[in-house]
Amino acid sequence: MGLAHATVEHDLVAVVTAAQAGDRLAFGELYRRFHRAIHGVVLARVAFGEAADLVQDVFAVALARVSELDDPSAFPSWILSIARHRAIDHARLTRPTDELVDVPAPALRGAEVAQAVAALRALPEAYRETMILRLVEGLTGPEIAEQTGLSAGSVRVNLHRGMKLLRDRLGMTAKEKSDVR
Amino acid sequence: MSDDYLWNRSGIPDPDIKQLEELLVQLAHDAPFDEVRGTRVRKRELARATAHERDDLVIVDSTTTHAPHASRRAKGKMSFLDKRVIGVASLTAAAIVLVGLTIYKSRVAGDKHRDSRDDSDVALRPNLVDETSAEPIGDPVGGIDADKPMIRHGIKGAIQKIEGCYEKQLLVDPSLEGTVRATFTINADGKVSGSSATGVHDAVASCVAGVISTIQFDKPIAGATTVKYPFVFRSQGVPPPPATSNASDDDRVMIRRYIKQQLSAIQECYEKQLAGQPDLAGTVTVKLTIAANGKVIAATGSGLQTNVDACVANVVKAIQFGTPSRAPIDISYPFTFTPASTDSQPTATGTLDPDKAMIRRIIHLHIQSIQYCYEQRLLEQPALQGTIQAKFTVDADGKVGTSTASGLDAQVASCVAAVIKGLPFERPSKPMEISYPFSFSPAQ
Repeated sequence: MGLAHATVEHDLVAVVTAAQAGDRLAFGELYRRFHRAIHGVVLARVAFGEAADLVQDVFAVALARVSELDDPSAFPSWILSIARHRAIDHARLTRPTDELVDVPAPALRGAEVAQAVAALRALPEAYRETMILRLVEGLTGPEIAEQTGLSAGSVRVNLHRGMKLLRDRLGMTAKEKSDVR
Repeated sequence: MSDDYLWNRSGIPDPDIKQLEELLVQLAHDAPFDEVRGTRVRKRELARATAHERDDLVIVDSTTTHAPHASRRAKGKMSFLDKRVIGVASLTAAAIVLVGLTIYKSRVAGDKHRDSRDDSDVALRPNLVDETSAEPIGDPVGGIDADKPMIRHGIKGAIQKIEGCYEKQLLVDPSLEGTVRATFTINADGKVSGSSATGVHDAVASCVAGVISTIQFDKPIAGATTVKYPFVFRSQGVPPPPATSNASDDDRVMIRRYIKQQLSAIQECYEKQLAGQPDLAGTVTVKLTIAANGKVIAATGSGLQTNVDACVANVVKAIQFGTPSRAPIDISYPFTFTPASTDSQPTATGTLDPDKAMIRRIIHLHIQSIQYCYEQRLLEQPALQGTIQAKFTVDADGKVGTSTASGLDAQVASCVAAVIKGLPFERPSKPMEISYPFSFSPAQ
């Protein structure tokens, strides 16, 4: 696992370094790898209808500033910080919206989606982002750790506790099973 | 129940999680990158790099005092961390200015400046505190916190014009830099009155005040509000190109902006040769011709050393400039390189310690885990803020020997110490004993 992680990190450094040198294909690769994580981070703080726009904003800023990044391996935490900053600023400048309308127009089972999103947003901040990355963006725990800079242990704890709270709030009852290994 | 499926979708699917995944997948992001917007923002951000718009605006008067405060609960350190990241990134360029309008070993120098700041304190200082409050003048009154983002937003919208005030004057005086302090009142309707400014140069200050007077802000929550706003202008080691017969002032400003963007690549040309020739110093003059479409038709370098000359010319040749007002433009751009010298800048540069730089880099890479320690506790104690002093040793093999932390809160301290204990430091040149303070405060 350590070797795999090191390989991934080395690969990322190479891609970031190329992007810093002006390689737009490399930047496109960074977008491909991180756009879901950025969307999840933003979605944890702003309405769905505004999140996609902010994602573009974040990557536009990243494109402009990536050459200033001293340590290419710090790219994940760097771009996520930009995303958080932008989302927080945006949320401050925007009037609160009714969560019930905060679903895509053609949403299937719109009311359920709205309820689930509202429950996710109501989670404590520490769990909210991780849970959205897992359930909305479809990232796995290891991918979340890799793309956010959180330790695998922290992600696992966030998922476990976040899911427990989410079940409570959505009226889901977890069927307790013994963990057979 | 096993969390395996929640963790990595292995094992038996949890029906609740599966149901939520199927429900929420339609919200997942799948849009491609907007290249047009990327280019537009890139230009804007490049411009920002010149005028270091300071966030330490101070509202000195507010006509009402009843505006609501934004909730500060559990915001953690989300916003100020990236300020620090961006701040550190800009330090590298800013440090260049300290030796005048010359380019030297920027990365080394940048680290030295950071080290000198760190060394003035106890050991390493990550300075995680929100620097927006680093220079308060007077006490916050009424709803000013709620209005600050609105004010910054308005200023940011005009930042290109504001820095244009500086850049035009820079053509006349290439050594010009300093702080313009603007004072203005945002009326209840968002219009500006009483805009004035001082500092740097009368023409720059007057221009900045004029630009601000045209900004239409959003209506301040606190009613009519008087604001002081400093703008720090630095030439960032890139002098404007000399006047030529066929380049307008606007063209020269534009050219400098694009050159500045490639500063690190240009410096690398020099640094590569510097390794073999420690005394290498001098000026590379690049003669370039810019076509109507902003492309460089020809670029040749001369004056210092063959490899550096050619390398710098190649970097410049690859730049896609903006559209000049007339074309083609023929211009000679001088780049002066000198090795960093601790003798010439003893107080500013300090002593570079690669071990400390390594420690700081590794901690920075894992800062979110440390931040998480605080945020978890912040959920229970929304007003929690203060400093954790971590003390740890790094053995010769890079492993952390002992790790302790104290201050602020025992739970946070214990967590921080545990995170540091597990950090994968690289091998230092000798075993180290580190004292590292972390200042935590809720984001605004």
